[in-house]
Amino acid sequence: MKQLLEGSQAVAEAVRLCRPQVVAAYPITPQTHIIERLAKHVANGELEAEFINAESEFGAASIVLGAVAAGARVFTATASQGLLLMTEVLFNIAGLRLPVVMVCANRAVGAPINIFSDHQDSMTLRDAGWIQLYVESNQEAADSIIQAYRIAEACELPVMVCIDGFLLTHTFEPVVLPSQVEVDSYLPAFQFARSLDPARPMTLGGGSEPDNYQEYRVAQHDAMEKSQAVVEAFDADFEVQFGRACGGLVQGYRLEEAQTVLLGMGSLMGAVYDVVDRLRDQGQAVGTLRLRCFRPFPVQALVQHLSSVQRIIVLEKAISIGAGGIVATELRAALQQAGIMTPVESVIGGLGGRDLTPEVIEEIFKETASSGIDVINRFAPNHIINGEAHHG
Amino acid sequence: MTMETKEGADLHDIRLHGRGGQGTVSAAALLALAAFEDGFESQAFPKFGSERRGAPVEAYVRISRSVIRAHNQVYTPDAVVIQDAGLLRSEPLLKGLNPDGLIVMNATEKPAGVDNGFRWICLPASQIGERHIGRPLPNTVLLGALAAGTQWVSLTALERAITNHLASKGEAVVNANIEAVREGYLFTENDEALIL
Amino acid sequence: MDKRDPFRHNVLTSGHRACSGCGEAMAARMVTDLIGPDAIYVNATGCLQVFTTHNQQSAWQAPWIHSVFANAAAVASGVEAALRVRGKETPVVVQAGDGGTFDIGLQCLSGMIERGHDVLFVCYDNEAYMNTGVQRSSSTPHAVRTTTSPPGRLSQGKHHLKKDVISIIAAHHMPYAATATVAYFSDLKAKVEKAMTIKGPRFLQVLSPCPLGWEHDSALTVTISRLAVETGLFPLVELEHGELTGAMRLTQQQPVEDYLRLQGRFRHLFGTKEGAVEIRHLQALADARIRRYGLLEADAEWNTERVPQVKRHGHGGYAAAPEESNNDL
Repeated sequence: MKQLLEGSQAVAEAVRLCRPQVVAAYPITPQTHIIERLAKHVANGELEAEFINAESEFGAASIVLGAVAAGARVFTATASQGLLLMTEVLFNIAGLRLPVVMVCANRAVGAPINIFSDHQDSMTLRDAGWIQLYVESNQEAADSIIQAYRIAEACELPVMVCIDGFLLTHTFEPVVLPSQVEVDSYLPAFQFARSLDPARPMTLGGGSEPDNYQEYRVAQHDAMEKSQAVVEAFDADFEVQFGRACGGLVQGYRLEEAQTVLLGMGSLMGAVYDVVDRLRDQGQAVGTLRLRCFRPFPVQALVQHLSSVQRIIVLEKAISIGAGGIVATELRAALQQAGIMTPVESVIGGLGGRDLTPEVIEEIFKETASSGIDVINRFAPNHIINGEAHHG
Repeated sequence: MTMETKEGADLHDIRLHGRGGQGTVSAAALLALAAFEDGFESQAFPKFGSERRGAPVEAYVRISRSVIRAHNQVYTPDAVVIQDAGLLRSEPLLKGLNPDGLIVMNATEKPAGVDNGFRWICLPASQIGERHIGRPLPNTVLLGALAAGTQWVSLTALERAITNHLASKGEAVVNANIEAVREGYLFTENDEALIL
Repeated sequence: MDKRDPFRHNVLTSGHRACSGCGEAMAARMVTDLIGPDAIYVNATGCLQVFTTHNQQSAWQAPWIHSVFANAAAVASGVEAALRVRGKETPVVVQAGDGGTFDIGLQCLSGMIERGHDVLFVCYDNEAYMNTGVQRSSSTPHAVRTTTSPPGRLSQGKHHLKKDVISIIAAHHMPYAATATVAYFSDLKAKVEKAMTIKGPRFLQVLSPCPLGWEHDSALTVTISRLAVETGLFPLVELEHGELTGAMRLTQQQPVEDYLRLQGRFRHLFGTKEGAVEIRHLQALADARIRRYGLLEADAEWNTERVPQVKRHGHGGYAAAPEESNNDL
């Protein structure tokens, strides 16, 4: 049954349906509504879990690390500064191959302090060994959380579900929530083979030396590569069970005979779809490709969809200071390795919550080298109404 | 997964203005919920950012026949709901309002010196709200007036939205708000509101 | 020659975006005007930082830096060390909320104190994470409703007691730690001025009611602040090098219920059996604190022995330098 739900509410309900046993969190805008709802559920006996108010995000990440190591299904959520404060622990969780599921309510990183949405926070953690899924709607947020637990527990890799702060977390839109029975059928109970247990004592987090460290990383990297197939398979299973899918690794829109394709992630895609429709109505052969799974980076899927396109634009909401677009750079490398020499235009926009409106996106499609700008590496234009810039 | 192609433009964009504590964001949610009850697609969100008690608050609603995919700000609303007329002095409440746009305002008269071709519905929403809710909360009254003045959502849908969304506050609060939204609707429908 | 008119120049000037009735804004204005603009202010993330430096505007008329939530005390340690190396005397003051002091900020604060940095750390305690929407902190008193300690079928609000941070700080045996609140300005003034005469790490915990989060009328901030003290729930004390050296005596003890009734964050305790138990707990807590600090004993002999303190040069602020009556030893 479809309901109009705030994104945070959809997330909290999805988490509840997955039956976490330990929830630990520290409040940070714009994740707060998620953890507040979970606190309320626990207080009312609607979720049988330990709800732990951590003393900081570093604490929250450490608490869920300990809890999952002791065999409990866990949940935490954070954003921005909080995610960065967790960094050491997030690398640790991944290295220990612990199946933690976390929501990152994507928010810009300070300084300067900014509470609005961009992808700088999760992008900064791209090397940590977490699977990263970027959702475009509240529906997909709920569905991806349910999938995330199954993926994490099957692959023994932690999963970060990235949900745009405010744009999704604080927006009411239609969502279908599955029933408990349906989720139980899709997501089995958590059984962790390496949990801390006197019955079969194991040492977690021991030392390593040059003669063996690389093998850990190789194994981790290998597991991440293999998880691509798992992400796709579990999305396909989800579609069979629930009647809707989340887009697997990448999801195309109007790619048939597209000569120009714009690649993007997250909630900005909605406006891109509207612009693609508008341009197609005008006879332009444009399409768009949504990158749902950023880690592992789905090279094969991307190459497959972009191999015969003449113009590729990447629109992303993060920047590697001193290097430029992150997704664009990785895509360029992947395409070049596959022998595809189509130039990739890197467009960085939406930083700090600046609105990527349909007008701005249409402008991005229109901008070419003849406009006198460096199309290969640029920032998105501003949204102008009557000569005045509107940033949202 | 097949993506739906958009068939028609967004039907109506509404912007609501109030002060922190007046239930502006709640009103937006209720309006979106009501539209949803009436079978439309809808979306509601506050002006993002931290809120301070007493500070100006904005919230937005989109109502459409087709799935709303974009998550952008509302720049050119078709209607503006003003919960606190005092804000007109300090805030650009009418910015971007479409030329034949509608203003629904919590006031007994149209403010002086504002003559720009918009349509106005003015009613003493705080007083009406106080009679039913016990506090001068104008939000549901104004939603009733908006519904009567535009027919974009039905009164029944608003009542259902109130029943569902405010359920946790108890039956008394739900009933009070239903009375409030009804009176706002009837007040406007019966031309007791000042309609310009 | 300092041209700033002490009667017109506020360190925290008007135009900031605090809620009406904000106890923290009140406290910060008092404290920073007492210290003055010749100081460097290091602010943790929180309400004060947000409402004074929103979006490219600043209400601060003194040097001011904000880094992240956890590290104000560490940043201040660095500022202080640099000033020392550069031979400068400018006082360094940290301002943080209870979150940035009791929880996420505790590690850096303890480090700053343990290393003996000459910094005054002021905690504006509004008993929850207010800026992000009223989530509980370890400073939240027990049985309080916050969004992450909601009352429900299985819960009466926050389970755990308010962290006794002044004792934790005092246990560092550091020069000066005191509690204060907005209702007692003279007391706050005396404590700020005393702190500013002492060299080394100093700590002030200023109870700052929050009309939004405590759910009270914004006109009642001072009233509620006073009741917190008069009930014994928030004793006004001074601890020097770990020893209790001052406490505000209560002429009479007000019942805790008088304090609780004015605040919506305790509303759920009234009218239920479980709630009544928690009210008794809170009364017992207040009684215990009164006994602990001897707040009702008119004849109590305080430890008025002069505790040796290392003096700072200068005192900052516009207030007249306090009498040189201490440190005879």
